Amino acid sequence: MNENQLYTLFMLSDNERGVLARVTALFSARGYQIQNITAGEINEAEHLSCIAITTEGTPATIAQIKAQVEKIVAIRSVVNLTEAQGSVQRELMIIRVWRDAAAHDNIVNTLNELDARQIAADENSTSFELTGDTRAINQYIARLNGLGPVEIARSGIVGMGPTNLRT
Amino acid sequence: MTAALDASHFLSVPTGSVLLGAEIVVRALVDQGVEHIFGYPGGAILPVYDALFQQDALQHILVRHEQGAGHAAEGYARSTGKVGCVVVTSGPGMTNTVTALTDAMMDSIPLIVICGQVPSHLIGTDAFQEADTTGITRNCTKHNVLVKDVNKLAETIHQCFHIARSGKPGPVLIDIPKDVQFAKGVYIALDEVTKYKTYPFAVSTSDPKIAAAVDLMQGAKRPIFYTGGGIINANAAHILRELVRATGYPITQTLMGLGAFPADDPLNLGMLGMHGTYEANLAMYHCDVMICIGARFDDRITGKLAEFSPNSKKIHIDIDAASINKNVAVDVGIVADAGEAMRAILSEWQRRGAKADSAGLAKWLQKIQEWRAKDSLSYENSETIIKPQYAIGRLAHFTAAQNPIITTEVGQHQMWAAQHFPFYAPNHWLTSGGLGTMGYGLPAAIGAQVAHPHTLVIDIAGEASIQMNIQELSTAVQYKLPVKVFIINNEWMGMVRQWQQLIHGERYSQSYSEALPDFVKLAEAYGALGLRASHPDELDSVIAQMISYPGPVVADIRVAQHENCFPMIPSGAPHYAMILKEGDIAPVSPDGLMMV
Repeated sequence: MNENQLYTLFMLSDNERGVLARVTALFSARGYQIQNITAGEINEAEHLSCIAITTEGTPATIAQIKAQVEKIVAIRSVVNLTEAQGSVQRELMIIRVWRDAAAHDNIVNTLNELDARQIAADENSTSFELTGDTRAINQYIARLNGLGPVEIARSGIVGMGPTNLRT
Repeated sequence: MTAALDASHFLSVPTGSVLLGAEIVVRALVDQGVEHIFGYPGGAILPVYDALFQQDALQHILVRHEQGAGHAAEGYARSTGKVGCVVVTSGPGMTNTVTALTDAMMDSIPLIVICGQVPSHLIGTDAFQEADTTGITRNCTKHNVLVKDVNKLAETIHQCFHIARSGKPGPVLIDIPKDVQFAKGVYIALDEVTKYKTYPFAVSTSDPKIAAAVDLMQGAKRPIFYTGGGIINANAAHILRELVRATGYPITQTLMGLGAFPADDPLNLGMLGMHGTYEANLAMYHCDVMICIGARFDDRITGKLAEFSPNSKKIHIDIDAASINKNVAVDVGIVADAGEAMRAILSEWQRRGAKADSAGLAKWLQKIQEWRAKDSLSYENSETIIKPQYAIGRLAHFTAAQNPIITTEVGQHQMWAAQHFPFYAPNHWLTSGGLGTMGYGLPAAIGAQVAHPHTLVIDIAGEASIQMNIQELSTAVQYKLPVKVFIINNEWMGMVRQWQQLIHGERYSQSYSEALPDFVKLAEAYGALGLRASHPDELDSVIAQMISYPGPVVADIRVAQHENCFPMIPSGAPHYAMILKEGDIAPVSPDGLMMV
């Protein structure tokens, strides 16, 4: 019960100047780590943004973080995605493969096996996208790194709670 | 002038009218019921000062340093229950308020700080007196906002008042670029503007947690109420008194909670914590049911966490959900306004016809009486040297009939004041509890005196702390505010000296002030009355002169230099390891050495 574990908190916030800074400042002021963070506007008319933060802690620490984040005036709601039944989480990764790489064909074949989608190409390289939960993305990265040199970027978690949070 | 304002004056025009941004600021403050604002002008806030000049519904108190404005607003807020207001300029004006903002954040004091900013087009250019105000104050405000659109100014100010005073109160800063103060925009009255949430703190007798709390309380054999400043913020001292009477359970208060329950009530064990009474701390250790209301289990209270009240069931009522289970795991956590929750518990108690376990309670009160007999606040008096505890005791004695408001600075004198000055009513004890800000007391006293012009207001100070905001004496003189500064002068930063003696091998590193001003002459230089007592025989007459003088007074009370503040829970020690007097001192554990 008291072991550290990764949790992802999903927040809906007013899309105001400084909200993200306030959230991250809270984490640093209270000594919590941010493993990854994503944020973006989701409803311009309602000035609504979403923020997802993955952090490590015991259940009690996560409960404390959640309670602290809920006190931020611009935060409308906070859900612990890791514990909420029926929530969904995804990450996006982008993989660039260099045409002159020795393992080029092997890497591209593997990406095709993984149902990666080609999103760009030029004379030097081809770029693909893949989505999955964090565990899947970690597995993809391990597998691709084993094949040869590739360039990789990942988004961090985008998630959604189990119920309509806009109350 | 207020009554004679013509219909086109910015304080008279109807909502929806077009005003200058600066006029909107002043109008919004007046519509919020603000009567006094503490501040200091400067380039980026001049339009607001121009608007202040053209009205007199709102009185501006000119301080001598912006930190003083912040603490004065805190003193004003804490002594009235209203929101304290500050107006300052950009850059250094704002940075000077940071200590007061942090202080208000820690002690849950509602403040509004209006801050000038460089014009919008200069933001980010390292302009003269530019600072990243919202960035710097983000961690020491409940909320802050940069207003870039004059048409959002009125709404923002009204929302910020709502945020400052609702839920767990706290400081809110509004940063206004100079061009926004000069721009014309629509003024909106405060009616419908609050889209911001408040904390969800509705409770009722049907809440199962109230019933669970009463279940625990009802069966208690060794109960204790552990109460804090949240009760005073909730304006709920009278409900606390009813609840204590209904149950007959003993009660202890935190530093911030003093005054919520009468000091002389037999059920009152006084203050708990590091310098609290023996009976309060031992009762906390040995209790079987702890009812914590509006307090937050901070390290001054708990001592060694692992041994904090090991055998009790704990009920915690707090308006801040994040306070519950933060430091100490509790059995029943109730997120609620202290007054509403106590009312609900009281009515459930009465509905059930609940009674204390009379045999158990009698035994418990008997045990407490034994602890109390240790007389842990006693000290050895002297006929030749003024003991600090004696000075505060005499001050309390001579001012009792006037029910004074007491402020303090931070250190030994603060703890002695908490121990030896009895409080009977809330909002009469203003002290920097969470942040521990030296320099708080004099400006806080000024703020309290502005709000209560006919009340005796005394800053119990130390000679080191008072010098951190001594310049505010000039403010007191200017506004004829008859605050009394009662300096417990031992020439040492006393609490630092005490820790160096007890914990750092008597190596007194930088804690002695080898040069001190002549406080009598200093008072006179400011235009106040200076008094001095150096011998116990002089003390009573100095106190009498101080109280009867109609203006501000500085009384320099020369006290014993090496007196230590006891009782004391050594840092990192549990409650039962409390030391009562000089000879009892045990070596501090390695963990304790790390504590502050």
